Amino acid sequence: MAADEAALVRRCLRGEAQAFHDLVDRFQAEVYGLCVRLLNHRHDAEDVTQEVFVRVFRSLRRWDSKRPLKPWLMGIAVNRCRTWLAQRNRRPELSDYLQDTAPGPLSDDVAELLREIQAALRELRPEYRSVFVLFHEQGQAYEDIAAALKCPVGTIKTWLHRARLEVLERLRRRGMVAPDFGLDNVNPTSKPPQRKRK
Amino acid sequence: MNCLEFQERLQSQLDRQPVGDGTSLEHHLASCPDCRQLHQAAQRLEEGLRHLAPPCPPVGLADRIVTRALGERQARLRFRRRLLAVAAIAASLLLTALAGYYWFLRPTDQGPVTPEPIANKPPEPEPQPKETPAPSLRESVADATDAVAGLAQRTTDETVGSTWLLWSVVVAPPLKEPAELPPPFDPTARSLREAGQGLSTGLEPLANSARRAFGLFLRDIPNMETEGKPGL
Repeated sequence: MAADEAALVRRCLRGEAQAFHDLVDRFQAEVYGLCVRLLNHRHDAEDVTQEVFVRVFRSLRRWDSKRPLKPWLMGIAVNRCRTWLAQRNRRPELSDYLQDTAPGPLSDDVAELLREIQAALRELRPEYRSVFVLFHEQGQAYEDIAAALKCPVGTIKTWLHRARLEVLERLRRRGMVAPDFGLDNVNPTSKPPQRKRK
Repeated sequence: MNCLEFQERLQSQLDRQPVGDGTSLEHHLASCPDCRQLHQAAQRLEEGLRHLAPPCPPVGLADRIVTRALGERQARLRFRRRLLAVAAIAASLLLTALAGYYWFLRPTDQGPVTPEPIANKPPEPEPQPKETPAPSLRESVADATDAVAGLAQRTTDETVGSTWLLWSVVVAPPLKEPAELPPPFDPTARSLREAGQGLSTGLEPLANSARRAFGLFLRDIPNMETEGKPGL
């Protein structure tokens, strides 16, 4: 994998347009997904994704070929999103309601749950949100996240635990769990009861 | 199991790590409503994350990215070429200037100037003008004598050379001896006598005029003793 990435990077450094296409095709979904989650705005995410890849191509010579390419690239994406957020905070925020759901019909209860999870993510601090998205949505390991964010693994774990607790607290506060009626509902292995819609 | 242990177990479960026996968890959840609610929220979160699809990039995004990246690469290469061209021209001008300096302006008796490291070099004192010792009087006189002698020798040589050149061209007429030489006279007495006569002749009009003017002046003066004192 690392040799494959190194070869791809060498082709990019030679200026092969097809290599550019291959690299973008390989990572654009993850970069764009991360940008959407961190920025909560599709157009901004698209712009930042373009900037991320332009910066990646500009600084490919600085990539350490002994390390995997993805954490390095995701680190650039996180940094660009932070910079974009800092600039956007100085001007009125544009609303862009995300409707990212799995293909296929969803029940109203699941759709509402997804909206609450996304709202909870928006309320997280940027570093908590980055770690949460990279871990739960993109399935990256702690070590890769630490490499991308240039933080110790312990710090990443702490951020992720706090992010989860904040999301869970919001879900509970927003009534996404069944009210506690006593010991009858306790079953740690079973699926929790569906929340009754009002 | 207490609440802290429950939270650690919950984090491990969300980390997709294997968790232990559920018996102790069941007992704790049965006795702690807060942890029970948290547990249910975690199950809902896992359910939601299973349905949460990652955002799909828009169609054509990859093409736009590649086009922009290649364009920037071309622009960067163009800028680098221009920079190299400017640097080459500047280096050529500098080399030309250095070559001109060494060929035309550099003194021939000096070797090539080697730069000296100045980082650890102690500061040099201000250069003092060199005082040349004043020549002694004897040396000055000797130099002047040599110069005058040389000048005289050169003038003499030139004169002799010119004379010999003219002598060979011009035929000199024979000298005639005068028949009778005029008698010698006393030049000093004669010149003094002639000078006295010339002086008296030259001053005679002035003396006459002065004498006449003084006589008129005395005649026109009134009696100053009576006219100058009217009260008397």
